[in-house]
Amino acid sequence: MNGWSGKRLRVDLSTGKSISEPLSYEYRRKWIGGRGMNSEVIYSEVPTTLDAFDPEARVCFGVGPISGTAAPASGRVTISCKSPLTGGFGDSNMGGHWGAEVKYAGWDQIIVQGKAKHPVYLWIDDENVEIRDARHLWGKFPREADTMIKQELGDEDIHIVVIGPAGENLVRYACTFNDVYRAAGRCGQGAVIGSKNLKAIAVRGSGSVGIARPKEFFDVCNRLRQGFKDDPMRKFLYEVGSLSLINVANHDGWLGIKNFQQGSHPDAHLMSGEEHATTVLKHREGCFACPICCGRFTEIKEGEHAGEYGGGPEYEHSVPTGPRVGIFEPNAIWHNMILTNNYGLDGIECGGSIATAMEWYEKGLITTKDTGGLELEWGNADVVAKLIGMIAMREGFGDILADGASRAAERLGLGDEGQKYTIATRGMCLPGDDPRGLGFAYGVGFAIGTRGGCDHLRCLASLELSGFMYPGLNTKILGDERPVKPTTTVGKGYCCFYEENQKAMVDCLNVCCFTTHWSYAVLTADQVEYFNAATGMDITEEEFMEVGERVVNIERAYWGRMLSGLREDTIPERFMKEPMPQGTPDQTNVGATFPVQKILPGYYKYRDYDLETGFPSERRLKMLGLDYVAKDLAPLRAKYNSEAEKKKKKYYY
Amino acid sequence: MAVFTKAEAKRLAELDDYYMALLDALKKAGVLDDGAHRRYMLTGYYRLVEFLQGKKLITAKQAQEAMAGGFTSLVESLVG
Amino acid sequence: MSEKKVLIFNQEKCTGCRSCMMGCSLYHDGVCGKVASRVAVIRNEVVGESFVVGCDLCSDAPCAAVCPTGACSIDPKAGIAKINAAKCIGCKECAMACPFGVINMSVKTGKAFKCDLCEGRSEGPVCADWCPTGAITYTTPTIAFKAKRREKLNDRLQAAKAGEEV
Repeated sequence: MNGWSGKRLRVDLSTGKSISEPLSYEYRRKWIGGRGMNSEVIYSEVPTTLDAFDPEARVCFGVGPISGTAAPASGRVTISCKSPLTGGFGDSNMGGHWGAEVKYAGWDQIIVQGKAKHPVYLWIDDENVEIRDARHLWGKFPREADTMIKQELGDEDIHIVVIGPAGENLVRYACTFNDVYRAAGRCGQGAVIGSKNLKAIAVRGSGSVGIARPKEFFDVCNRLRQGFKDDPMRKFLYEVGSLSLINVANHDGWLGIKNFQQGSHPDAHLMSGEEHATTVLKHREGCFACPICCGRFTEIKEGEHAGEYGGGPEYEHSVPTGPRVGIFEPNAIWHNMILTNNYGLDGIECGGSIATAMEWYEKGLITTKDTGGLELEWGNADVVAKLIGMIAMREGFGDILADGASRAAERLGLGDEGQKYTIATRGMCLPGDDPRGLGFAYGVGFAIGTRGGCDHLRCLASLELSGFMYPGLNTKILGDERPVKPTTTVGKGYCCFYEENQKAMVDCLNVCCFTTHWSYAVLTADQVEYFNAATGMDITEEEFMEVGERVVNIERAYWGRMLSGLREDTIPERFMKEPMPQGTPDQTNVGATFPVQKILPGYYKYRDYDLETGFPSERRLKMLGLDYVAKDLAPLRAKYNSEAEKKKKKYYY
Repeated sequence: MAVFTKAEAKRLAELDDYYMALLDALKKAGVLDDGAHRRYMLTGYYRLVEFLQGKKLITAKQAQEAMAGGFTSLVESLVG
Repeated sequence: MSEKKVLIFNQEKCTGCRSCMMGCSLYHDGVCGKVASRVAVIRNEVVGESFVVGCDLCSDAPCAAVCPTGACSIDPKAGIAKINAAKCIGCKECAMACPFGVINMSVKTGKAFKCDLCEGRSEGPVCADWCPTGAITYTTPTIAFKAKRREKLNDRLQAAKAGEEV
């Protein structure tokens, strides 16, 4: 078979049995792979009423038809589950080399269900699947577990997915790693994996990915790779990594400082990629087949943390445990990054929860009596570092924050007043970008993101974000150059629709956003071209984008089944009502607010969401071949608008 | 070809959400059927321009201008 | 006679992305796979190190010297060792003899295969062409070592300058 392997692996940890399931042509064409196939499985197999930690819950690892090929950055993996953090649909995505290895072992998807009696890990050696004892690995940091498994299996070139202690302790935002440092951060898959007593999945593949039209595929990949050589964004990302955004963010005032009370700070440049590259950068890292290589490896050289090392930093990881909690001292930020990686925590939710608690503390909603004596003052690096460990081990006040900011507010009995400061949507904290300065289409993504308060990659509205580096591109796709201005409402509804579908396809193919609509060396038409050449199909650009639309709709429908729709499509009040204060003299967005409700109606038009409920309309679902989904939603439309439902305030599910 | 009046052109240019309005107007004028309306919603403006040029509703030069100047210049070519 | 170009591997610049391996396997075999690549990337993820190894194009090549059938021999025109699959008996002697471990045995045919500098590709070897960081370059030794000398000298000068300022 070309492109796909044509089969998926299903492992039941309760029974210890694993089976190989064929993936039909129609199924592959309808869902493509990665996020698409995962979302379909979650929708079909995981009831919305099931607890995220129930043994029957699924966790899916999906790769796409071009994973493990020469297509730029084709090694990503999507991990999907019912999120223990939001309670709704959840998935996350990571780079590294594990995804490619899964393909070489002959699989398109791995579904894990059930619960092992004691800690285990999976050893997938091509078609041979073995469940091995992992009691000696329980409690270990990813880097220790990775090293031990490689020694045990006698092969240092295998690739391993692993969770840290946070996942074992069911921290609701525990993340999952592969290659030690490449994390699928959001939505808490690490905890779901931990709840199954699964520590790791080691994979070795001896196969290759078949290519239907090799000459054509080579020519497309070659052309695209030549294009990257001159791409301005590529140079930027390779030289200084994603922390290249720090100085930009600080200038445009969207850095999300002190839980988004500020957007710019005179000391922010200390943690910029430019500074990092000349101080603690040890090595630049590349995920599989990547022409950009934005990955970093850090070794702290001075101060109390000297000698500590680890993968990263990355913008979205380091801002929440840095500026968001008021820390600007770079070595303290790198230290927090290493800590969250070692424990296996999503840096965004971890920093977001701590920042929220700090604001509760500042506003007097909680005191040292609640925190067990911790003085949660902005910028208190010692307390933050201590809390990271306490969260991962679920100790003291850390145990409360380990449930995420929205649930913590509930556990502390802070009510609506407490929720005001969580800076989350659908139970998930936003990443470190303030839509008041960064961009309105991007901000709409926070309101409508199908995995909750994300997302920076979900509806990554690159046309407004990096479009300025590519004049004419907004006109080409959106028909006008005006939407290139981040803080305008013009054209943003369509921008969201197009980019959300496009990013869904990026995740179905499991390539990297940065190599498609971000650096713009690869456009949608190019993706269709390499997809067809690899798989031998001849789908049109229209069908390609329609798959993206289908994926977004089935995820949205999952939320619909949980009675989450139009009313929940909003963003924290702070962004709508509080004008951005001045943090630095040259900050550009002083006084700005984000009028999300002005853009949403336009966006709904393209989506054809039902304007009463915000659920996908029956008409559109049927058009997408999702009649069974339409049937599921039919009785819920009236229920969503019942008086009892209208009164409910849902902070998580 | 005359698809829009001057007043319609002006209205489109002033809209925040111009693209759906443009597609709707082209559908109303019989230029796009349901399938084409959906196709160019999914694939974007440049595919729409290619289609209109292929249908000879705009000339190659007008298509070029539409790509440089955006939808307002496309609409201008279609004002009668 | 002008100097022949060779592959130069600069480990400091390797990010471990394996773009080279994908280009190599796709160009030669029409598939994408690590096992089908003539160039290899070794990653030590825990400490963040990556290394790229490929055929160093030995002029006195051990792989050719040990081949019992003459399948692996120095091509007089190209000046590098090449493997004639028709004559290869799959004995693995060449793979074992290679000081860098960069000769592979085909999973499908059981025969040995090695780098041929992407014979016939006008842009030169794919691995060097696709390397995003300059860890693999395709150039003449003279040019490569001249650049190396200058780079090292610059490093020393800069270190000396920094010393003065302190």
